[in-house]
Amino acid sequence: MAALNDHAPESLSSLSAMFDGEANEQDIDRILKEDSAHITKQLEGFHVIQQALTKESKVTVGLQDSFVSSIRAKIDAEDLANQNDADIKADNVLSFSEGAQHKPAWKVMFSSVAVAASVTFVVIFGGNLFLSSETSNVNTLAEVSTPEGDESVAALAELNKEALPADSIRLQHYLRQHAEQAAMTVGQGMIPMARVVSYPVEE
Amino acid sequence: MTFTLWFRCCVVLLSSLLFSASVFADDITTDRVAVTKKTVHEVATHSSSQALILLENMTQSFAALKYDGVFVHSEATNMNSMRVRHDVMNGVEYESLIDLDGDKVEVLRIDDTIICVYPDASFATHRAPVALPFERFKEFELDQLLQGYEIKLSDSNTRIAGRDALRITLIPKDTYRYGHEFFIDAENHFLLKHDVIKADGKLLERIQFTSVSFSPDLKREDFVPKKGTYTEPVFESEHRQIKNLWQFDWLPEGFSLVWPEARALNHGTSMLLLSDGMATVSVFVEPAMKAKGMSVFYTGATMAGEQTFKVKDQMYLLTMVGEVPQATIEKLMTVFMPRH
Repeated sequence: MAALNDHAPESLSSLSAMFDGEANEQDIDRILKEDSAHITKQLEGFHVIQQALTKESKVTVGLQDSFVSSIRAKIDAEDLANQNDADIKADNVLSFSEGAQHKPAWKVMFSSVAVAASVTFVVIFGGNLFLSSETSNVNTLAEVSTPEGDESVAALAELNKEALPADSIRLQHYLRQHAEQAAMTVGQGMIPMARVVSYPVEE
Repeated sequence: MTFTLWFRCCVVLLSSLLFSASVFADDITTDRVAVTKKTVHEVATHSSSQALILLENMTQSFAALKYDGVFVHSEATNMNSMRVRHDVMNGVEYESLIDLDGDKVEVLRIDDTIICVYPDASFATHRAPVALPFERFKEFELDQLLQGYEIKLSDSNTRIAGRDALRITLIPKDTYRYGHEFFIDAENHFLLKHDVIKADGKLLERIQFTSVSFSPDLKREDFVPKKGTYTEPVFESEHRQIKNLWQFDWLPEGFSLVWPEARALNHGTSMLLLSDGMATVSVFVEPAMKAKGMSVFYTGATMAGEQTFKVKDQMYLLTMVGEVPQATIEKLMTVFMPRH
């Protein structure tokens, strides 16, 4: 972690954004250019924080160095496949997404899936190797500070214009989660899910 | 002297009589007022009780009735018409919600599984944990509801979607929640119209049926996603229950955590759910690297706020989403802290 912090602060920020599900294409590109061993080590650090937060009694087995390499390889393969698709224009059945106005930022989506996969990997081979006493005490601390600054208020419908796409993707996910839980809680069948349709959609 | 004495005695006696009569009259008036007040109170209580029973019936009607209807969901800037269908076949509950305007968003529910089909072809399935099955949420927490709202059943009836409707009003007891008006079917107590109202009386959100049938001819095939409507399914991980490491230093009256534990989402996010029996607030907290000041977003009755906070050396991003006023979200965000 220290090495990455010292030599590539931008990469650290990008990796953090990816871990938070907020990475854009530049972040992904930056990460892919980095030394995969450093990236892997930083990811392990993030998992430790995550485990401390969730208090899982799992052993974190070191992520393989080839993790980032495999992402890079898959993206390259995906690029090649997309190129071929564009050339060939195969007569596939028209999918829902092909008619969509906003095409998903596939690299961002892929990064989310990749991180989710890595989390799954850690959980499956769980344990508490990295669950040090320092991180496990997070919940006992009472000192809470919030950043100062002007509060901003915006309409959700304006999110697509004002917020970063990655931010809005995370918020969309939470809005959907909320609508689903509201549907199960307030005794109005699926009617509360009607709100989801009004929420902004940007992938 | 004798006359004077006699006159004084008469005056005193008369005064006493008048005073007694006055007191008696006051007693009668007070009693009458008391009786009147009691009657009004009894009527109000009776009205509230009836309203609560009707609300409970309303929640049960969503699960028990077979229906196929079209309703309009409107808020300040958006209006969508949607079709909702529901049936129970061979003990399995099926429900479908289709957006009839614009992109064809569809939400399907088969018992505890909710399937969302979005225009971008993502396809997400969420299975509720066994410990918290969908069935458990079909009843109102009536006691909890009474802590936050005054509930009234209106004498005047109206007609919605061609059906006689009863009107129930939930008046918030404080400024931390919105008011609600329910119009429910006089015959089967199904919800025909629901308004969410701000403290100043302005309408925030409305759901209103324009037509509904309670004897539709529905089949299983009506609740299966059509082929070609999505490219490849993306399954999100199941919700895991984890120890709740967070607490609120304060909550509005009637609000409490719906789940005793937190739920783990992807990327190390913990989710908590607050409810006062009517409004819900979802709380998401996750580790973060970048500091963010408080931002508040809104659409219709839904308010979302986010802000980072630091616990010793670790930064966390806190996001809250709920159908509550902005002040509620802001205050809840300031009283959120690690559990000691």
